[in-house]
Amino acid sequence: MEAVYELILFLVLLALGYGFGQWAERSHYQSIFKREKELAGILVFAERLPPPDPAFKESRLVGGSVVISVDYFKRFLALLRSFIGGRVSSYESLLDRARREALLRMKMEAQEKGFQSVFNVKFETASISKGKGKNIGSIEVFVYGTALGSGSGSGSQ
Amino acid sequence: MLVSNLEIVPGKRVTKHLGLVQGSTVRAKHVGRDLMAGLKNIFGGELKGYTELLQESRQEATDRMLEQAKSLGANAVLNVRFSTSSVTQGAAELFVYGTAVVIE
Amino acid sequence: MPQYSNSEIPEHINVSRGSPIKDFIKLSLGLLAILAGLAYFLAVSANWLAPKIPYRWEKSWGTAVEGLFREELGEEKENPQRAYLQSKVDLIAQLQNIPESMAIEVHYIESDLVNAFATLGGHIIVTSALLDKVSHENGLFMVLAHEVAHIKYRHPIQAVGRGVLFSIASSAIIGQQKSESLSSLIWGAGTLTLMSFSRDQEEQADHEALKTVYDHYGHTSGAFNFFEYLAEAEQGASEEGGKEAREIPVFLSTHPNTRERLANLKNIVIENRWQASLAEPVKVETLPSFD
Repeated sequence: MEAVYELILFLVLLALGYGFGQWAERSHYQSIFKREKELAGILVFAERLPPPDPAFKESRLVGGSVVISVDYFKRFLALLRSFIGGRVSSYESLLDRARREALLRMKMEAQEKGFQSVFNVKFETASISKGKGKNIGSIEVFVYGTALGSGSGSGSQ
Repeated sequence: MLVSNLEIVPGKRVTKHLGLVQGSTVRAKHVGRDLMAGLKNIFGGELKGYTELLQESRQEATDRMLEQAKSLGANAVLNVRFSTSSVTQGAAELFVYGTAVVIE
Repeated sequence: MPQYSNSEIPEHINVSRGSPIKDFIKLSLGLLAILAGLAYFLAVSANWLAPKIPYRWEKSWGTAVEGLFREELGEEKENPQRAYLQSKVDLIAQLQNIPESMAIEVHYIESDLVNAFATLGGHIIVTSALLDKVSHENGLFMVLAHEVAHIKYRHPIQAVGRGVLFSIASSAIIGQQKSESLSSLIWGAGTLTLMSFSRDQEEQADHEALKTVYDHYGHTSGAFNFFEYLAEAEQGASEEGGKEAREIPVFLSTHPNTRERLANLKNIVIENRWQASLAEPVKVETLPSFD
């Protein structure tokens, strides 16, 4: 009997995970698209050295971070996949969303402080899992870089 | 204090290089946040509690690095890097390092 | 001065298209099929291999098992119940043409659990509760004949063989997996397959037992006495909402649904014309009194 309850619980969790997970992903992507358009004016580059532009009077470190969790359904899907091997497509969107969200938050900070571009952008990804095997539960993405521009802020802390 | 992950400061010249400075902090999540995280592990989505926690921790690590730089008499830290590693289960180390310099 | 700009990058370069639910169905069905196929293959090979093990060996393993339940359950060495059950089993062994070398030994134990089972080395264990629940000899004869048939077809050794092969295979597969949910899925798929083999064996034993009852009494009246009790006990347990769960005999765990079982057996009776009518008054032998 216990096994039946466990199975039912498992199926309910899968269904909840699928329902809420898909909904959350869709709405998150909507918001990402919208904000990416809004913040398109802030330019980001991975180059180490900015051009010697006289407009770049101020510089300041900016960053954005997010911790995001994968839903039960996708985690189980990844598990099944790990059994057979191949591309774990269910985690691709998780990482994509996290990186874009963190980048947007960094751009937001740059905009608030009055900068127009961010150079030497670096990504830092860490898994904040429960340490259960190789299972990824949730991940943190932190993006940082140096914002350059005329800057309305003081440019120093 | 100017913090940048570039190796130069546009339009300014570095007069003194004072060496490596670093800041680090190890933080563990607490039960309340873990509970919410457990729910989010089913539904998916952002774990705001953790985002804030890590942000605070990173700020603390940066402050510690700046304290080191200040004691060296620097007015800027350049080429700053961040790194995150999970030390034990449920705890993470936030580490930040850079070069302390004096700019004109 | 070079030009600096950020243009829009198209979607779906880093993220694969395709519905996750489709992926899920494909993966889980594929995995289940592979696992069930593997379990099926292992079970078939165990069933084929097990009877090739000489009965002598099984007998010696059975001695170890016997020592175990003697210690655990505190069997009385000799009592009228055991002697009576043994005489019936000997009779059944004769009726089922079981060779002399396959000696069958009955053990009677005091227990509240309604149970009877056959195990390695030709041992049949009957509990006192079962003896209380069957109301006449014909019913008891059917139960005993069922257990003897298990031994005749060497079901215990087959079950052990399946279990051993299955454990080895599943630990080899699950050993690499750290997730509990997936491990239990693998375990579940295998166990379900094994259970279907176990149910097939039960049916085979039922059929043989019914034939034995007919051979002995010339009719099958009262043969279903114990199954009818089981069906009632199950019904009662489900109506009580699990309160009386203890009343469900362990006898059932890997067994077919009792109602279906009864229906199948009654069909066999009708097909073979072993009894003029299922509705005819039951002609049964009474059980001796053991007090």
